[in-house]
Order: sequence, then structure tokens, then C-alpha cells
Amino acid sequence: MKIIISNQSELPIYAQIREQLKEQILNGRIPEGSTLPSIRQLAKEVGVSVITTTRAYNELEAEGFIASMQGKGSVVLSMDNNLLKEQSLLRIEEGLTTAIETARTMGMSEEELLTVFKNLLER
Amino acid sequence: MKAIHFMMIDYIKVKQQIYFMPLFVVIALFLWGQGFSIVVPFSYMIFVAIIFSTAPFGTCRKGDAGFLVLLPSTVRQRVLGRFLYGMSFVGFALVCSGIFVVIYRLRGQEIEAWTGTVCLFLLALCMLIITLEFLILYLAGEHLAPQLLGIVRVAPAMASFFSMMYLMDDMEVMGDISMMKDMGSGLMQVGAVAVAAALVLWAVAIVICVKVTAKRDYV
Amino acid sequence: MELLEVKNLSKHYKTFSLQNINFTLPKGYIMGYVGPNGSGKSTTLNLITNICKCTEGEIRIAGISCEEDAVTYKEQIGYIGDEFYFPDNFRVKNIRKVLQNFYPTFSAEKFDGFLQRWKLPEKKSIKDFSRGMKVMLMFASVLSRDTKLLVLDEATNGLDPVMRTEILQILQEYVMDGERSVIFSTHILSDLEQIADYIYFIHKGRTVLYDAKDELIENYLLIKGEKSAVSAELEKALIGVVDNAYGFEALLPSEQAGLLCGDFHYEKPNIDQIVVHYIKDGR
Repeated sequence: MKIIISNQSELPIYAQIREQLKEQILNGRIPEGSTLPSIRQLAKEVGVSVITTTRAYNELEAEGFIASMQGKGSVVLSMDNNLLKEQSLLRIEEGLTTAIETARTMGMSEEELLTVFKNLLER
Repeated sequence: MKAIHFMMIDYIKVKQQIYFMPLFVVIALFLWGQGFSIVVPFSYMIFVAIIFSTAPFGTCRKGDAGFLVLLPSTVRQRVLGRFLYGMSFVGFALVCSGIFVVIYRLRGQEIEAWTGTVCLFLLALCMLIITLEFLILYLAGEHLAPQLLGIVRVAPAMASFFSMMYLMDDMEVMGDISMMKDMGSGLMQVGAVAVAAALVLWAVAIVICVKVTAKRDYV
Repeated sequence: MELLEVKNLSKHYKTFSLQNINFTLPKGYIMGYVGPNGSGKSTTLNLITNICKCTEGEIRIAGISCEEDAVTYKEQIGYIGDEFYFPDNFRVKNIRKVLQNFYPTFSAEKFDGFLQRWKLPEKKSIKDFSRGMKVMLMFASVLSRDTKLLVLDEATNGLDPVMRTEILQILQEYVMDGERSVIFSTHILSDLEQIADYIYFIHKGRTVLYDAKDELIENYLLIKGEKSAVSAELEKALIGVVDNAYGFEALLPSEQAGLLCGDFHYEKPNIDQIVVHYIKDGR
């Protein structure tokens, strides 16, 4: 795990930590089920305040990347549960929205669009 | 117990001055060797006691607050420690004089009763002076004490020493010694009372100084 | 759990008064007490350490006030001042002895460990120590016993960056277990800013700002631009406008960011910049 704090960044420090951890969880550099360093440990190692790291962890927890477990610290959640689904769903919705918007600008009816969609599904 | 520890701190703070202590004892012995009676070396030792007893006031600095004032203790322990430090020199003077007397006796010389009486009065005077000095210094405040000390510490000590010399001279010349001898034991009791009174005053001064210091800002 | 509670604290002097200071510092956190010279930082810390007695108010450390139990209260404090506070003619062994006599939790082994770690010579007279060595000796004396609250009054003044970094680590190590806290005063935050959880900012003895540091920084924007582009409404919202020949710099509360129309440069401020603009503003 690697965290680099930049004072030049426009992102606040807690957000820098959050984003870097998120990225490493998503690309597997921080494996699921592993324990993150404690909030205080991380604050000391990186040289930032405890409140800052607390906030980064809280937000990661709220987004479903980690869970804090009593006595175990913060554990990285497996990505096949809700979070990954949610993220994929988001991407699907995005794609469909683009399709719908394009259809509308072309003046395509709902039925025509559904037919296209069904045809694609059967392919 | 913490008062004793504070006393030890005062000793360390003025240790460079304490190193000169043996020199003063030698001078006292020398004075005595000149044929004066025991009263002279005794008054000299008392003079030394007065000088040394206030020495730690000279080392009070604003910076002390961070260490000495923050030591976990009550104000009473801190002030009492300083008072004990001061009185310890009176004790030292007494012990030295005791040793002088023993040597005197061993050499088969007799010590006249009147000298004991004079010494008692001197002792009471010395304790009174130290008590007054402490009162003045504590009332002024520990932070002001270093500036005041120069005047406070030397004046009474010098005065008592030289007036004693003068008195001794006078008495020996005018033959007043015989009068002293006559009054003898009666005055001895008065002297003892004076010492006791000085001790009481000393204790009262401690209480006053604690009260004053407790309300005071150190810086 | 609050470690340090300061309530309605006031101290009146002839020419200066500290007025109505209120804050709490929870266990395991670091507070930066900031303000310009003569703003009352040291006065506040002297009241906390009970070197001075307050005119009004109340201070508790771990629930205990100095009036209730002076000995326990003082045992909980580790103080490092901007002045070297050991008597001049003390030697290291004298300090060790006094600490041993007065603090039941003092560990001579720990003390000696710190001496070795920071290469503080036992034999050398402490008044010949360099500024850095003096500060480290004070840290050694404080860290070699159990304390709850570290009080640092301009302790890092005049230290080189290597030492300052070392001290940052010491402070973070100190609050690691989540039981102990640090309050430090300084007129220039720089590197200390990063590790501070809370900021208390006073000026002329009065509270200006008090908040979690991250909140403070987020609550303000540092605006730079040309004076001519500033609307009347924006002008009112700006805090502490500093003009120069080619533009201005000022602070703007983040919630007023909507007023920014036109060509402005904005960035997140650091605490020093917030302090400077607030003082310039004179509020």
C-alpha cells in the first residue's frame, strides 16, 4: 500500500488518502480481506492529523470499500458484493441513458428502441 | 518529604557558592586563633549563615516556572523547602560552634558562662534576620527577588557582624564583661526565650509566605 | 472523552486581558493554539499549567482541577517552553535525580534511552548545550514519565527542519494510543499544521476561530485577482483584503463562493493564510 500526500493538490488531504486507497483496493494492490493500518497508525506514518485520516476511512466505509470491525480494525471488503454491483449498475445506466438520449434526438419511438434492445439481447 | 527534595534543589542551584563554605570555617577558626573569645567565631559563622540562607533567591528566573514550579507539589512544600534550606545554615553554624567548644574544652580552657548568653542572643537575632529577609523576598515575589537580593542579603548580616565586633571591643575595653558575668544565668534564660520566640516567628513567616505565594503568578 | 476542558477562562492584566476562552480537547488529539505575538497564547498555556492563576474560569485535565488536587494535576502535565527551564548549573544527573524524587512514574532507563537516542552528553554542562539539545533534553525529561497532556509553548522556535520533523513524529507517537493529547502554541504553523486536529486562533486575547483544522480549511477559499473585478457584494464578503500593485489577495467563506463571477484565482488556504487575513481584517 502506498500513500503520497501532495500539498500542491487541489484535493484536500483526506480526499487524497481516500482516493488513493480506493484506487488500490479496486486494482487489487490492497487485497480484499486485508486489514488497513489503524487510523492513528496511518496518521503517524503519513504525518497528517488523526481527524483527517478518520474522515478518509469514514468515507471509504460509507462507500462500502471497507468495514470497521471491533478489535480487528478496518477490513477491506470483497468487491463481489454490493459495491461492485452498484458500480456496474452505474455504468449500465450511463450506457443506456446515452442510448435513450440518442434515440430521442433521432425521434425514435419507445417501441422501436425496445425492439433494438431486444434484438441485441438475443444476439 | 517533598520539602526536603526542594531543599536539595536549592543546594544544587547554589552549589558553586557552597563550595566556599570550608573557607569561611577556616576564617572563623583563624579569628578564634587570634585570641578572641568563642563569641567572635560564632558571630562570624552566623554572619555566614545569613549570607548563604538567601542565596537561592538569586537564581529565581522566569524560566524556572517550567520546571521547578511545575514539579508536582503544593506551594507549602515548595516554600517550606526554601525555609528549611535557609535554617540549615543556622544549624551548620551551631554544629561548627559546638565543635569549636569541644576543641576548646579538650585544650583545657574554660568557657565563661556569659559567652553562652551572648551566643543565644546572637542566635535569636540571626534567626530573626533570616526570617525577615525571607518575608521581604517572598512578599516582593520570587520573580523580583533576584534584584532585591543584593540589598536584602548583605545589609543585616554586615550590620550584625560589625556591631558585634564593636560591642566586643567595647565590652573588653570598658570591663563590662564583669557586668555581664554578674547578670549571668538570668540573662541566659531570657536568651533561650528569645531563641524560642524567633522559632515561632519563623513558623509564622512560613505560613504567611505560603499564603502570599499561593495567590501569585509566577511569571 | 475530553482530556482538557477550558471554561470561560479570563485573565486580566493592567495592559492586556485574555477574555472568555472556551474549548475542549478530546483524548488522543492535537490542538494548535495560534495567533500573532502578544495575542495571549502563552498566557493561556501558563494558566493551563497553573504557573499563573486565572481571574475567572475553570480548567480541568482528565476531570481534575488544580484547586482540587494540585499534585495529580501537575503530574499529568508535560511542559516544554520556548525558554530552557532547567536551572543553569544543573547537570544531567541533577535533573535525573530531581525527576526521580518528584515523579513516581519517572523511569531513569527511559530517560537514559532518550539521552542516547538524541546524543545528549551526560558530562557537558547543560548551559553549554545548543538550542536543539536543550529542547531535546526537555523532551527527554517529559517523555520519560507518564503524562496525559503535553503543553508546548513555542517549543519548536529556532529549530532546524530535521529537529522539527523529529518533534512532529514525537508528538504523533505521543497521541498514538488515543489516551493522551497535545496542545501547542505557535505564531507560525508551517509544518506543525499538518498534524494538528484542532485549531484555536486568538488575537488580542479574544477568540477568533476555533474548529477542527480540516473544517477551517474547507470553510475558506483564498482568492486572488484584480481589484476592479470585485463586485460590491463580493467586496463585503471578502476577509482581510491585501492589495498590491497588480492585484489583491483575500479570504472568502466557502459558502459565499457563488459571488465569484469573473476572472479570479482561488485555492484552499493554509492556516497561516487564514490567520494573516483575519488579522488584517481586524475583526
